[in-house]
Amino acid sequence: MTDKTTDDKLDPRSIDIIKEVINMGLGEAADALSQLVNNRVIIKVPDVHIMNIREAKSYIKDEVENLGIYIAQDFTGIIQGKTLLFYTQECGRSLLKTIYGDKKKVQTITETGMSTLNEIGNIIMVSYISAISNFIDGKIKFSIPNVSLEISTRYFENLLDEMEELDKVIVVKNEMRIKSENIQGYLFVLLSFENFMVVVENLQKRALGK
Amino acid sequence: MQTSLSYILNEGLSLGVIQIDMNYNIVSINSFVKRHSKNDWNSLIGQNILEMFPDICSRGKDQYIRKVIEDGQANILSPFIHQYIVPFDIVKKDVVLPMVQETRIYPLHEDSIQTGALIIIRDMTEQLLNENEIASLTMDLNAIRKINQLMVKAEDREELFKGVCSVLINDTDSLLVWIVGVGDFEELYFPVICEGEESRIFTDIISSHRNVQTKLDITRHAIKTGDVAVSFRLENDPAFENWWSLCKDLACQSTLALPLKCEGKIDSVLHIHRNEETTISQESLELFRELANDISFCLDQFYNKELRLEAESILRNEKERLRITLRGIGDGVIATDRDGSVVLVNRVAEELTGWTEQEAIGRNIGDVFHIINEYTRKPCFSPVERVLQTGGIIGLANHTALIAKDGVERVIADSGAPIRDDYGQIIGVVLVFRDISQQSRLAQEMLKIQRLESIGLLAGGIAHDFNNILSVITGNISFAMTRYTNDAELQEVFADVEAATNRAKDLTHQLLTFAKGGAPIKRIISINGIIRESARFVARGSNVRVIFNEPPELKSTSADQGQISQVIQNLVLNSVQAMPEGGEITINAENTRVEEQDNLPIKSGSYIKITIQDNGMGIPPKHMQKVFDPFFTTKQKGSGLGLATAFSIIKRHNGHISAQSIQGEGTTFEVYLPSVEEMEDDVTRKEPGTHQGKGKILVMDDEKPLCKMFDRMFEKLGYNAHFAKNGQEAIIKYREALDRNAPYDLVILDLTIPGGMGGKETVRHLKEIDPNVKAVVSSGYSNDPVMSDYLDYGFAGVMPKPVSMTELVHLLKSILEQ
Repeated sequence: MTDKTTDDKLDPRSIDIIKEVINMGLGEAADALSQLVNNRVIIKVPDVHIMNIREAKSYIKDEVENLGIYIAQDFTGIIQGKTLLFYTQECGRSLLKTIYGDKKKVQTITETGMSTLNEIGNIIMVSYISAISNFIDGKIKFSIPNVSLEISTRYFENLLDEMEELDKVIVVKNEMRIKSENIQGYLFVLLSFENFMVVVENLQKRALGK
Repeated sequence: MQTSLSYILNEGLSLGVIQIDMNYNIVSINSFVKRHSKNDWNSLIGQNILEMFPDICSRGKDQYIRKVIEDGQANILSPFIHQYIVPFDIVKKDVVLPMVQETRIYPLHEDSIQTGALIIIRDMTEQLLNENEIASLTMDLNAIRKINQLMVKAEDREELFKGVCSVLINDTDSLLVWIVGVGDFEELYFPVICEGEESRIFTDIISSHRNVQTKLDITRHAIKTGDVAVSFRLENDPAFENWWSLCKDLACQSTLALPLKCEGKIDSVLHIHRNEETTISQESLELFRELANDISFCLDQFYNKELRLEAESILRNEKERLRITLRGIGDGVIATDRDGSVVLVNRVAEELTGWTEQEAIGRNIGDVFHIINEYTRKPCFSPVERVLQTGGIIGLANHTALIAKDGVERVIADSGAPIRDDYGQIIGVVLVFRDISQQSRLAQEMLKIQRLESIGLLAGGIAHDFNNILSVITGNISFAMTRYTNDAELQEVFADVEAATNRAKDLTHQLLTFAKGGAPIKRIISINGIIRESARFVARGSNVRVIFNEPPELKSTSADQGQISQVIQNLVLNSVQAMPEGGEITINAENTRVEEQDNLPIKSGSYIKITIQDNGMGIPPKHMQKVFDPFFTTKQKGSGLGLATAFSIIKRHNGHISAQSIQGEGTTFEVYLPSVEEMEDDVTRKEPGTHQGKGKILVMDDEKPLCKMFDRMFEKLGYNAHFAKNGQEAIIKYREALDRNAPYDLVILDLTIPGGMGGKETVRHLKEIDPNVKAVVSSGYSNDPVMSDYLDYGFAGVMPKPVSMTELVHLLKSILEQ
């Protein structure tokens, strides 16, 4: 994990705490999803990166496929920001397949499918962000997420362009297994520099007693 | 009309909106909710939503509302996972269905304090149905796309049927797919194919009911109407109740029967069973109709392909049969296309032209079939062009020679005919030809033989008369020699005359032998002199030198002197002709013994081996096998009879002749003749007049001078000669003498009496009269079988004419002194 815009307060220990908190969110998400699909959901320990806007753009270019499903959700409260959940179309269909089972063959992502992805995305994103807010004892409210099928990374780049240079992106590369399907996705938490620092300071205060 | 926000929210949205307070009591609802709620909408206001709709709690969906109220977190509940939150109904046609909903629940705040929640309900029922239908149509479309790909790849109907069933089972929601075949009289044959989990049970069901008219009513309906038949179990379709009674244990709820046509007739019926409980959409039905049409089109293609393959097979077999027939026939056959390019060459044509079919195909006929006039040597007009020009059957002119690839020339007989297609158009030419070289040569040789026979007859006649004349001269000279023994000068004159008449006699014999051949009159002879004389006679006047190597102790042989002479002459002549620039011929004669291991086609024993070797051009190896064949010659003017005659003569002498040759070095002929130990007394060297006998001799001859000569000769030898002109007279005289008890001691009978009974028949009569008669046959025709096998004909001896005194003495002694 690298952070070229090194801040004195963002030491490796703080980053470890953030990862730990996100892992707690992961557990929450797995529980919620298990209930929803009525099946066991395993989420592997995610690969977490914290990067600035420039790095994030480069990362997306290298890692993320053009054609994909974005589920976006805004949150407000002690911190404000936006979470984005990204799945490739293939993974999106696999995710729906695990929900539908044999009842329905998933060939395209329909409106019903998008509604389902919205509900799943809501569960996953709320789980992660709630883990953070719970840890820092701050209330966070979420909007209802919105799914969009995109054929280019332009959507994401546009979101990044609206942010300031020092703002931060927490990237959580995760992989979950539901039934026999492996579904890989990316969770992006977009925070302004100030909001990010609120998180860091609160985490340090809580965990390290600084 | 003025529209306020509350009016829009109330009336203008196709969404259900329910506002609740923090105690879950309903604060307000919009008209969408009122329309779809079973409850009296006025009674809803102020009521606890969870109590008013207990279904929410019983399905555990209250947690999502509570979460919004308690945690202030907005929530979304998707239709597929939850179906609905607040139980509303919708009426579709006559059916009342639960509304499928997407529900969003937002916390409501007033001055930053949450006052309740807003539940927004979106009816997704139609959406879900449409999506399912689209998904189903998409599946069907994808399956049809796959089937279309199959149609391109499938080799036959079985592969297609199997593929169709497999795709429909694996790629659509079909539970069971099967195809039943339809016979000419609409009888069903099964199974064609059956795919699906229950295929085994189903196969049994269909197999046992396939031709019970009332059972497979859905299949019969599809055959009868020629259109897709559809039926649903739940609709209790009375039209196909028999069908559903058969399927009572199967999971399928709907059946489609698609008639598949081939050449306009129902060929088979494709059945698709699904678990769909509702009507199959019109779009799906159209897709399946299209599928049936596509499969039918493919069946047409297979049928046409089968017909084409069958036709091709018949054509191929016919072609093969024709090819085998053409290759098997004894004449050469070459077929060309319209441009004269060779398309077929049979085996005989390959042999005659020297071109293999593989080499010849595609070449111009002129390259392969190169013909010239045998005599003018000019190329003949192409028979293919003539056939194409005339459009009729043509024959080749006489004396057409085919020049083979290796240069060998053959005289051929040929005909050409056009090959026409079904419309009578000429599409090629066929040439049929055969090698008539042998027949042509045979015809020429037959002419030659006929000519020779004519000459032979003429020569025979001349020789007969000439012999008689010579007999008179010889007899009288030898008689004269006995009378004037004291006059040496006269004796020398007589001797010269006798020698000259002997040479004339030999010439007459040679003439007869050349003319007619014949069985050898074997006598034990020494052949030294014969070899020398014959060889010199042939080589005389040529630039060839003959060298003789013969031991003085060379044994005798039993042979016809004239014929052996002819053999030597023919062999030496062959050698002379092989050395046009001159050379040497070496003739060796030696005594030899042939043993079994020598591998010669003659009996083991003693032989005289005569070797005639030249240093001429030699004989090519390919001709070596044929040198003794009649009419085989490489010489422009050769008859091809010389070596054949030699072979024939040596064979008749129980001998053997062979040839070895090295091209450019020369040829060697080897002749084996059986040898004998004893040399017969050479009667020609015997002194005349040493015999003095007595008795009666009857001479039958039509020539008066001869009779006079015999009279003088017999008188001189002490005999009393009587004469008869023919057989009849001889018989009478012999019988009279016998009756008088004064029989003849010897009878000399001329073999041929013009216009009368000859010697052969006369002796037969005489033998009847007197079995002990001693008769001698006399003739100038020494080649007559009676002369060589006289004992078989009842004669005691033979007397070739002309005869000298010495020969007569020898004859009388050999017969009368026995």
